[in-house]
Amino acid sequence: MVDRIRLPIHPDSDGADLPARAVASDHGHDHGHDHGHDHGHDHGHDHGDFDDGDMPSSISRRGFLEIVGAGLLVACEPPRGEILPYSRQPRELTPGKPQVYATSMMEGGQAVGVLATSWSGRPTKLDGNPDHPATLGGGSSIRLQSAIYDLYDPTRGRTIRHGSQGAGWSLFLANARGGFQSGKGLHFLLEPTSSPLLIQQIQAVRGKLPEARFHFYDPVAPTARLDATRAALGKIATPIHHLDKAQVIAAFDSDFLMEPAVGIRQARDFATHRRVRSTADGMSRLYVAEGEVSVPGAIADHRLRARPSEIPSLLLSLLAEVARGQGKLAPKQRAAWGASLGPLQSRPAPPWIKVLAGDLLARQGSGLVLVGPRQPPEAHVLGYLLNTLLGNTTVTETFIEPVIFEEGMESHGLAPLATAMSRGEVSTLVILGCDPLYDAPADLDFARLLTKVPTSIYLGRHENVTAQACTWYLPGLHFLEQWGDGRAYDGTLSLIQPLIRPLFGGHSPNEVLAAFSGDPAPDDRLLLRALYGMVPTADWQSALQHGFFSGSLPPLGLEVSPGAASKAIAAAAAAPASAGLEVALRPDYKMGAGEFGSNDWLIELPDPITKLSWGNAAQMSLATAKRLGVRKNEIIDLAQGGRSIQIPVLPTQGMADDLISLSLGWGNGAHPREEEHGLFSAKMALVGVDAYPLRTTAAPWFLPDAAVAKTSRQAFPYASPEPVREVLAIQQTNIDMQDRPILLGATLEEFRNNPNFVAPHNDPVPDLYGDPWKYTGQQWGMGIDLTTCIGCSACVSACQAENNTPTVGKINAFKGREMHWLRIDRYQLGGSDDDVRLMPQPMMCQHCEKAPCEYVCPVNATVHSPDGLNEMVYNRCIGTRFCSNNCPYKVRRFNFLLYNDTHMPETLKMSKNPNVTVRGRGVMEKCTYCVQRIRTAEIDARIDQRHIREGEVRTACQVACPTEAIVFGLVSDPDSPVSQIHGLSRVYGVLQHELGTEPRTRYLAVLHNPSPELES
Amino acid sequence: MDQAEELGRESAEYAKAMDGPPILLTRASEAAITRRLLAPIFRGGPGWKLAFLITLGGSTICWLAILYTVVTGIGTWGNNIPVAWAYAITNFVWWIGIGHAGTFISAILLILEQSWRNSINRFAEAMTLFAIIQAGIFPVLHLGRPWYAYWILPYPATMRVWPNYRSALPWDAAAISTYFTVSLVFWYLGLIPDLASARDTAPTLTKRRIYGIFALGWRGSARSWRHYQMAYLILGALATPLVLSVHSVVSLDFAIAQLPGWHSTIFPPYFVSGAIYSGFAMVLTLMIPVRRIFKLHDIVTVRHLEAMGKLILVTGSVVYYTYVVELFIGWYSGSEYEIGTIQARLFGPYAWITWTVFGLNFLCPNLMWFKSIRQGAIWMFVVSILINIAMWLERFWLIVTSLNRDFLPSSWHIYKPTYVDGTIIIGTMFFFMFLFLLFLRFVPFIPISETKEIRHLLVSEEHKRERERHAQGIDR
Repeated sequence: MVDRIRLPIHPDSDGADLPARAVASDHGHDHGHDHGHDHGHDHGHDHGDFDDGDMPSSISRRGFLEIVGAGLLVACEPPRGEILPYSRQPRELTPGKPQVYATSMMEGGQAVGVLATSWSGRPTKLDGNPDHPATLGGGSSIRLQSAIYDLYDPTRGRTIRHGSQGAGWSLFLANARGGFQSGKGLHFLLEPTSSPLLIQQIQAVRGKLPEARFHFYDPVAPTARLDATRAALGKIATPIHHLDKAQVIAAFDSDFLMEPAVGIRQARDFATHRRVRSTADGMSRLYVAEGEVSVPGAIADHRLRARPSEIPSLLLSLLAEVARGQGKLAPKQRAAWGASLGPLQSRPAPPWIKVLAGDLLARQGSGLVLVGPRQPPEAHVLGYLLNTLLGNTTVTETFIEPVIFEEGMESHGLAPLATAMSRGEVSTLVILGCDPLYDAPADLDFARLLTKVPTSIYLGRHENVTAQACTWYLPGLHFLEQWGDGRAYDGTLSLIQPLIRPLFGGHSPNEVLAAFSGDPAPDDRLLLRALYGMVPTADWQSALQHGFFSGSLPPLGLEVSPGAASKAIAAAAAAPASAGLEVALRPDYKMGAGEFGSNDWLIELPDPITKLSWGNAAQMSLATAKRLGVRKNEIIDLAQGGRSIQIPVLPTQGMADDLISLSLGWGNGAHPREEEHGLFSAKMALVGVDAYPLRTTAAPWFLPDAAVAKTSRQAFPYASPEPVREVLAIQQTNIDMQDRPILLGATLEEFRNNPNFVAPHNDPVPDLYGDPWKYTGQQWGMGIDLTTCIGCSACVSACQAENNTPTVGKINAFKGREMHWLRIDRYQLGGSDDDVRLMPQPMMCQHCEKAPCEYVCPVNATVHSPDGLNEMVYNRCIGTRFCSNNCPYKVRRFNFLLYNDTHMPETLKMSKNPNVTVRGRGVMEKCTYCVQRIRTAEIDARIDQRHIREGEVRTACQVACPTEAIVFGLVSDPDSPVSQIHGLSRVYGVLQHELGTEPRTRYLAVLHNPSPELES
Repeated sequence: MDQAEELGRESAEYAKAMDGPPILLTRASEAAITRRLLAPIFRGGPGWKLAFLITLGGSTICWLAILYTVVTGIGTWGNNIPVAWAYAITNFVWWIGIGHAGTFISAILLILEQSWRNSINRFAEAMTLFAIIQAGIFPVLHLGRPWYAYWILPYPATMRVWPNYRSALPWDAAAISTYFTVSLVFWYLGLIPDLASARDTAPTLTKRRIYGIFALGWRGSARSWRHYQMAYLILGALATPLVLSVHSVVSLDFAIAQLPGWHSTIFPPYFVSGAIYSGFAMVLTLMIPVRRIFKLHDIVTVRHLEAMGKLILVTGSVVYYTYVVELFIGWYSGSEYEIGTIQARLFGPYAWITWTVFGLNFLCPNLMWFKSIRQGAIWMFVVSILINIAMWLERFWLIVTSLNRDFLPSSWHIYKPTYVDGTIIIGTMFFFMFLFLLFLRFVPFIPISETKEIRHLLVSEEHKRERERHAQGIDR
C-alpha cells in the first residue's frame, strides 16, 4: 500500500519534449471532443496532407509562445525523482481542466491508438484515438477502456527483488553489464513486438553479445495464420481485412469484431454496411459458422453451429460449392483454378453452405471469407483461396509485411527456449513481460525447466508466478508510464508517451535491454528520441501530438500457390472427423491470455455473451449438458490427454453440440481475490479456473476426445456422494424475452415492406393528467441503433471509467448488486434451445420524461432537470430504494455496502474522475447521461457566450462505441443526429406503449438481413 | 335471536342465548378483583425471570444484528436490484398489521359499546404499542443511510427542502407516528385509574411513589370519572379512523408503484382487513397462554375467544376474497406484465409461498365456522400461530414476487435472505416479547376498573332480574 502519492509529474528532465505536450494540450480538446462530429466520412479532412505522410506543423503563434514559456519553466525542473511544485502554474495547465494526450497501447505486440485524459498529471480515462487507423473514429474496446485500472492496480509489484532481498536498480545494472563475454547462455524472452526501438535494441544486444538468444512468446499468437501465409503465399504476411468494402461476410470460427489490435477497426468497418436509415439503404449479410458463441456469431444473419474441428471441412464444402458455380467466377480465376477445383465438384455441401456460396458468387469482389486464428493452416489457406477465387483479395483482403518483429520465425515460440533450458544451456534468462509459468503449454513443464536456470530476471507489472520463480524481479511499467513505439496492425508507426511518472518505480523493457547492451544509465525517453533523431523536431512533435506517424505498410501482391492450395485441400479432406467430446480453448474476451488477470473492472464486467463475471466456466450446449447429465454450477472433472482440470459447468445457448469451450486467462495464481466475506472471516480464492493445464504445444486450441466426470464429495450425514457446486456470478439470469416487446426487430425485407413496423409500440398512452409538462430550451436525448450494436461491452467499461463506478466483488455480483450504470442485455431471439440468436440491447437510465422513479422518492432525491435529465441527488438520497422498485427498466444501482471504501489504496483513489462524485454507502445511483460533460460544455458555452455546439457533448459510452451505435445530443435541435434518429420510422421507446414513460433514450429496432433462401 | 335481544346485554341468559358463556364469570368482591389483578405486578408470575432472561438475550442478539447492519450497510441482507425491498419491509408491514387489532379493540369496539372488549383491551393496546415499536425499527433500518431518516419528516430544514408528498413514504411516516402517539395516549389514559389502584395497594413505598407519579393524582371522584370517560370516548373516536388510515397508507407504499402485482386499487381495504385479521391472531397467541398462566378463565372467558374467532372469520374472508379478485383482475387487465406476475407467483420460484399463503389463509378463517374450534383455546392458539405465519409469508410474497420478476426479463433476479435477515426478524419477536413481559410485570394487564365496571353492571342487572322475578314469582 502506498502511504502517499506525490503529485505525479512527467519524467521530463529537459524541455525537449514537453513542448510537444504543450501543443498536445492545446489540441487535446480537439481530440477529446471535436472529433465527435466529424468522425466518419469526412474524417481526415483536416489532416488531409497529414495522411500523405507529410507532417504538418500545426503550431500557431500562441502555441509557440506556450512552448517557449513551458520550455523555460521546465528547464528549471529538478532531475527525475523530485517533484515539481507549481510555484508558477504551467501555461498549458488550468486546474480543473483535463488535458488529452495521444499515446498507444499494445495488444499482441501491435499498437492501438489511445487518447488519454489527464487531470493535473493524473490520467483517468482512455479512449480510442480517432485519427489512428486501429481506432478510427475514436471507438474502443473493453480492454482499452479498462487498461487505466491496470495503471493504478494496487497489486502491482513495487520493489526490485534479488533472491529474497530487496535490491536497487544500480545493483541490477551492475549485474546486467558484467560477465557476458559473447552472450553465451544468455536468453531473452519477450512478448512479440513491433516496436522499432525494441527491435533496434535487440539488434544492438545481438551485435554486442552475438551468442545471446532472443525468444518471443505470446500464448495466443496467430501462428497457424502465419504458417498458412508462408505455405500458400510463399512469404510470411499479415492479412488485412477491409470490412467496409464487404457486403457478404462469412466468418468461420472468426471473432473478427473482438480480435485484439484490429477488432475496434473491424467493428467500425463492419458497421458501415449495417447502418440502415431508410428503406433504400442496403445492408451487408453476415454468415458465421462457429462452435462457441462469439460476438459476431450472436448477431449474425445466419449462424451455423459447427465444432471448430469441422470448420476446415465446411470451408472445403464451400470451396466445392464455389467450384460447382465456377461459371460465375471471373474468367481469370476460372482459367487459373478451374482445373484444380474440378475434383472437388463431387463433394456435397449442406444447404447453409450452398446459400453462402451463392451469395459470395453473386457478390464477387465485395465478399469476404474470414477464418479464425485458431484454425489449422489448411483452413486459412482455403480461406485465402476462396477470397482469391471470389475476387476479394486486393479488395476486402490484402496482405502486408508482418508488423511483428521476426513473426513466424524460429525466434517465436517457447520450444527452442525450452530445449535449451532442458539441456542446461541457459545460464541467464531475462523474461520481459510474459508469464510463461502460467501460460506456457503444459507439456513443456516450464516451472521445472526454470529451476535449471541459475539466473533468471523477470520484468513485469506483477510479481506473478513467473516472477516468484525468478531470481530477480524488476517492477515493470504500464504504457502510460513509459516511452516507446510500435506499429499498428496496418504498420502505422505509433508512439507511446507517458502521462505519469512511474507510480511504483519500475522500468521499461527498453531500459533493461539497453542495460544489456552496455548503456550506463538507460532512459527510455532518451532512447526513443535518439532513435527518431533524424525526424525534424516539428514532425516529431506533431507525431507525438497525434500519437503516430501517418502511413501504413503497402499491400503485397501475393498470390496463392496452386501447390499449397491442393495440399490444403487434401489436408482438409483427410482430416478425420473428430468423434467424442471436443474441448476448445480460447482467449477470454476480458482476460485475454491472462494479461488482464488482475484488472478488477474486467473481472467484474459481464462477459459480452454469457454475462458471467468473476470467473470462467465450461460452456456447452444445452443438449450436451443434458447428455452429460451435468447442470449449471456443477463442477466437473474435465480430462483430456492425461491432464485434467476441475471447472464449473455453464450451459450456453448457441453452442455446437459435443463441444466444451474454455476461456483462457483465468485462475492466475498471481491474483487471488477475496471471494467471500463472512462476519468473522474472509476467504481468499482464485477467480476462475486456469485452463492452461490442458493446453499442449501440439494441440494449443482444440482438444479431441475429452472426458467429463462429475466431481462429488461425501455429503454429511448420509455419506452419500453429492455434486460439488460453484457459484457462478451471472449478471443476467434470464435471456428469454417472454415475448414481450422489449427488443424489437425485423428483417430488412420486412422493414422495406412495412417501414413503420414498430408503430404499434409507439402509440400514445392515454393520460389522466392532461397536458404533460412542456420542455423548453435545450433538451438532451439518446438514440441507440440496435442493428449496429455488436454487444462488445466497450460502453460498459467506458461508463465505469468515466463515472467512478465501483466493483462489488464476486459474492455481491452473484447476489445481483453489480453497479454498472450501463448494462448490455442479451435476449434470445427466435428458435428454441440451442439454435438461437442472442441480440444485445444496451440498457441504462432511459431518462423518462414521466419518470416513475421521481414521484416515489420521499425526499426529492431524484428529480428532473429543465433540460430533460432525470437527475440523481446523491446528497439528498437516504436510500429507500423505492425509485428502483418503481423503475421498469431496473437501471438504478444501489450502494448496498461501502463499495468505494474510504480506505481504498491511494492509487485507486487517483483513478477517479474528479468531475464525478464518488458515491458512498446507502445511496442510489444511475446513468446521468454523463451530466458532468454536459455541464462542462454549458460552462464553456456560457463563457464564450454561444450555444452548445452539436457534438460538443458526447457521453462516455458514445465515444467508446466502435460502431457508433450510440448517438447523444440535443433532441431540441431538429437537425442534430440524435433528432434525426428519433425521427426515423423504426425508432421506439422501450415500454413506452405499456407505461407511457416517454423515455429520452430511444432505440432503433434491430434489422437482420437473412438470405431469403435460408429463411424458409 | 328475538328472545336474546330482549335480554340484558351482559346477562348469563343473553350469553346462553348467544350460545356461549358470559363475558365475566367471577362475582368476587370488587376489592378481591383488584387484589387479584394487581397481584402479578407486585408478586410476579411463574417463570417470569427465566422468560425475561431469554427474551432479553434474544433482544440483545437482535440489537447486535441491527448494529452490524447499521455499521456495515444493508448489504448484510439479501436485498439486491431488482429485489430492493424484502425482509425489512415484510417485517414492517407484518408488525404494523399486528398492531391493528389493539386499536380496533380499543377504539371501534368502544364506540360500538362492545363491553366484552373491557377485559382484553389493555392487553391488546399494549400489543399494539409494542408491535409499532418493532415495526418502526424497519423503515429506518432498511434505509441506505438510516441516520438521515428524519429527512422524510416535514421539518423546517435550512435548505428548505420538503418531503415529496407525491410519494407514499412521508405519509407513511406521518400515519405511523400519529398512530403510535394516539395509541400511547389512549393506552395511558386507560391505565390511570388502575395505576391509582396500584399506588393505593402497593406493598412498598418506592412502588407507591412510582405508581403515584404515573397515576397523576387520580382520586376516583365522580367528577374525575365523568371527565375521564368523556376523554376516553373522544380519544376512542379519534383513534377509530386510524385503524383504517394507517394500513391504507402503508398499502399505498405498494399501490402507487406501477409494478405489476403492486399497482392495484384494492390494496387499502385488503391491507386493513389483513391487518385486523393478523392482529386478532396475535392477540389470541398472546392471550391464551397468559389466561392459562394467570388462571384468568373467569375474566377472559370463552366468550372472548368466540368473538375474536368471528372477527377472524370476517376479516380472513375479505383477505382470501382479495386473492381471488387480484388473480381475476390481473388476468382481466390483459396486460402481459400483470399476467406474467400472476404466472410467476403461481408457478415461479416462490410458488410454494403462494400456495402456503393461499392454503392457510383460506383454511384458517373457514375453521372459524365451527363452534368447537372457536371455543377451544388450544385450537384457537394453533390457528392463531398459523395465521401469523401465513400473514408474514403473505407480505413477503407480495413484496418479493412482484419485484423479482418485473417488466424486463433481463433484470429478473432471485432473492435469498441472509442470516442477518433472519436474526433481525426473530430478534424483533424476542424484543416484542421482552417488552410484553415488562408490561405483564409492571402494569396491570387486565383493566381493573373496567372489569369492576362489568361486574357492577352484571351484578346490578342480576339483582334487577332477581327483583323482577320475585315480583313476577307470584304470577308464576
